Amino acid sequence: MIPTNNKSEIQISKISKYFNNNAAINNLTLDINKGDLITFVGPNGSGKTTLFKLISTILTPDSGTIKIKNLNTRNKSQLIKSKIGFTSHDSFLYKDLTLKENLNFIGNLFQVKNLEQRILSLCQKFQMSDFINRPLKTLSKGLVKRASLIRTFLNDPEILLLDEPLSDLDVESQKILIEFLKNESLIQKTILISTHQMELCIELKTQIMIIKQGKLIKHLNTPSASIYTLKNIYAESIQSGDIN
Amino acid sequence: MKYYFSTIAQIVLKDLKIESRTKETIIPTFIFALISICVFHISLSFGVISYQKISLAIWILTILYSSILIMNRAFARELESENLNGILTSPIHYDALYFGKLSYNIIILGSVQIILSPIFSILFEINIFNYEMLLIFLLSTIGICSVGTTFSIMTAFNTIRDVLMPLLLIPIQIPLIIAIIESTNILFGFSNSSDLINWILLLVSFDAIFLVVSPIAFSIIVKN
Repeated sequence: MIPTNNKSEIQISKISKYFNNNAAINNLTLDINKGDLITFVGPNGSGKTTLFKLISTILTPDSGTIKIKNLNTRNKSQLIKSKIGFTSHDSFLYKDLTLKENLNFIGNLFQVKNLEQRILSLCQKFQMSDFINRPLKTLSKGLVKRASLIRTFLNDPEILLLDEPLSDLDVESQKILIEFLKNESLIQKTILISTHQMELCIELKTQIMIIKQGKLIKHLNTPSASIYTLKNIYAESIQSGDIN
Repeated sequence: MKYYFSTIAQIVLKDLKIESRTKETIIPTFIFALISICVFHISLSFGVISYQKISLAIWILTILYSSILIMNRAFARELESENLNGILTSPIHYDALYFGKLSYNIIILGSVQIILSPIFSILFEINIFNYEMLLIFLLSTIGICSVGTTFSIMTAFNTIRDVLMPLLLIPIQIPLIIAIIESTNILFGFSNSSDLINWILLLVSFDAIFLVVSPIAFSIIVKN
C-alpha cells in the first residue's frame, strides 16, 4: 500500500543528472505537496524536461533521491508509475496504429478499468471522437498532441507531468485543456507543467518555479500577478541567475 | 502473473498489427533471404562439388543474416516518437517487454523460414520437412532470437547499429551455429557421427541459458 499520510507528495533531495559530463540537473532539492499546481519556466536546455523524466522514473538521478508518495523512484518505480501521467514533446504514440488501438494498448499496460468507456469519454472531452479510428499518421500535429494528452490522462493519474502541453494546440484545444486541468486541480491532483507561456501560469493561477542550468533559481507564489510583472521577474531572474 | 502474460501478449499483438500494415520487416527480410539462396544456388550449379552437402550451411547462413535484419528493426519503431519511453512510463516488468519482443521476433523469423523452406527444398533438392528438422529449426530460431533481442536493445540507440549488430551477435552464436550444422549433417547422413541427441541437447542448453540470462541483461540495459 502507498502511504498517504506524508504531507509531501514528491520529495526531491539533492538530485543531479549529467549528460556527457554536463549537468542537466544540478543538486536540486524540492518538496511538492499533494494538490500543488506548479509551472516550471526557464530557458531552453535549463533542465525542465530532464526533471520531468526523472520524476516519471524514465531516467534515474546520478545522485540524490526522489520520493513519490514516500516511495523511492530507484526501487519502487513500478508502484510509482501507475500514479503518474507524463506528456512529453513526443507523442509516445504509434503512427501506424489508430488512436483507439494506441489507447487500448497503453490502457491495457496501465490496467485501466472500464477502458472502453474511459477512451470514449476522454475522446469526447478533447473532441477527438471523429478521429478515433484513424491511424495517427493521417492526423495533423495538433490532433496528435490532443491524442497524446488523452494518452496521459487515460489512467486517471494522481500526478500529472505536462511538458509543453500547449504546444501545437489551437486556441479552442488550449481552452479545453485549461478547463480540464482546472477540474483536475479541484480534485487535489498534483499538476506540474513545463512551459514557456507565462499566460498559462496566470490562467491556472499556478505557483511558478524558475529553472536555469539545472538549478531552481526562484519560487513565486503570486497567483494574482499580472503577465507584465511575471515576465519582468522572469527576465530579471534569468539575467541575474541568483539562487533563491 | 496474469498481468505479466497480458503485457507480453499486448506487445506481440501491437507489433504484429503494425507489421501487418507496414510489412517493413517481413518483406525485405524474405526478399533478402530469397536472393541469398538463389545466388548460392546459381553459383553452386556451375560448381564442382555436390551442393546438397553444403546446402544446410547455406540455409543456416541465410537465416542467420536474415535474423540480423529482423533484430535491427525490432526496436526501430519504439524509437519513433519516443515510444519506448512511452512504454517505460507504464508499470510493466522490463522482462515482459523482452519476452514480448522475443515472441514477435520468433514469429517473424519463423514465418520467413516457413515461406522460404519449400523454395529452398526445390532449389537444393533436399527434403527438410521432417519432425527432427522442425525441432532443430524451432530450437535454433529461439536461440538466435533470444540473444538477438537483447543485442537489438543494446544497439538500438547507436548510429552504427547496422554494423554493430552482426559484430556482436555472430560470435556469441558460434556454439549454436556449430550445433545446428552438426545435428543437420547427422540427420542427412553427411556425417559419420551418431550423437544427434548430444547436439540437440546443446541447442536446448544454449536456449535455456540465454532465455534466463538475456531478460536479466535486457532489464539492466533498459533500466540504465
